[in-house]
Amino acid sequence: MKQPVKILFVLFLFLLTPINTKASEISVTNPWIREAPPNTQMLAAYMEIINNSKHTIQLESAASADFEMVMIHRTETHEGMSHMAKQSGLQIKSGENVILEPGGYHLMLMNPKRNLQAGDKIKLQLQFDNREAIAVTAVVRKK
Amino acid sequence: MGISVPKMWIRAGFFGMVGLLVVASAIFVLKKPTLNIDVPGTRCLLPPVTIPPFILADQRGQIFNNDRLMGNWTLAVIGYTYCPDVCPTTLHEMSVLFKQFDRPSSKIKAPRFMFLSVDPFRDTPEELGEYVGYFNKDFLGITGTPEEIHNLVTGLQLFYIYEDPQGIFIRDVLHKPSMDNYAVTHYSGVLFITPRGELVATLTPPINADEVLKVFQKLHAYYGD
Repeated sequence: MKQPVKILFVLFLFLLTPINTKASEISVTNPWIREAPPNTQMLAAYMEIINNSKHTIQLESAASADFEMVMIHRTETHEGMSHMAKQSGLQIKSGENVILEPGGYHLMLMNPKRNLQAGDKIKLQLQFDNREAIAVTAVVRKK
Repeated sequence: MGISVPKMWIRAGFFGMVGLLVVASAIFVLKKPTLNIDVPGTRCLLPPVTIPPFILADQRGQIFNNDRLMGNWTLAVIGYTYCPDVCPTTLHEMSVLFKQFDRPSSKIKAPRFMFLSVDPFRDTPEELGEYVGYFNKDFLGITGTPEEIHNLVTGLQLFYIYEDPQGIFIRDVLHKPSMDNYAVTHYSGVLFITPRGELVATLTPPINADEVLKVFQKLHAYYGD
């Protein structure tokens, strides 16, 4: 590559960078919902949320058109007693991640508007502080 | 005067008998396998907890009482169908476990599995049947009057309590809470009950099919069928 072309190419990359950074400040991987028995009123969504931004973020709420209500919960088990603790938010520090998984943090999905089966794809909106909602598509599966 | 037996003989006979008893009990103790389960979260109950008399019903409306625990091992879990996370997670693992028992190659006779609802106000027998049947068609969904459920759970030295959406505990479990969407904080371990109807061990979450199998195999080897 000739020198001027190289410079132009590097400049072009710089132009792209800010757009990319903004888009990947928060990333969500492997969002899924456990398939439940028919007519179950409470389900749970799990995922990993990664904070690539320079500041602490907080998941404030979540919603889905397929459920009446979505709440952020954490299952806490002490000496075999399991308790669901409602979370007012879920803080994720800069460069860190939080895993929502069975037996821990989860999004409690209340009163589904239809029966969900393995393979179904459900849209969820995650509302973070000072940001617009992030849309994720969770797959329904058995495990 | 009768027949006189020399004192020495009596003494020798006595010590001989004592010696035999010692040897016999030593053989008995040594031959019995020791109960040593190295799965984290396992608690062996020695002596076993005797299950108090109870009368409940399965999802088909048939009486489920102490007699129905006899003759076969029972694995049991306490929960409710409105449970979003712990109960379905554990029931999924139990369904994975019972697929292994159902294989012809399984050397152990399959235990029965019962899911005892501690939410009789919302879990009807039909809903409970549909719920447990999703995980395995042979799983039992057990329910009954609030009093019978409470007596059984506390008799097993276990615990559950209701909680409103704000996280405030409702101690009265004998009446339906006034609000919708209450949660149940409950004991969530697996219970192992012998074919003689005694609770011999518990395993606390996280529940994993392989670990439940390991615990069950050891208990089965120790207590037998």
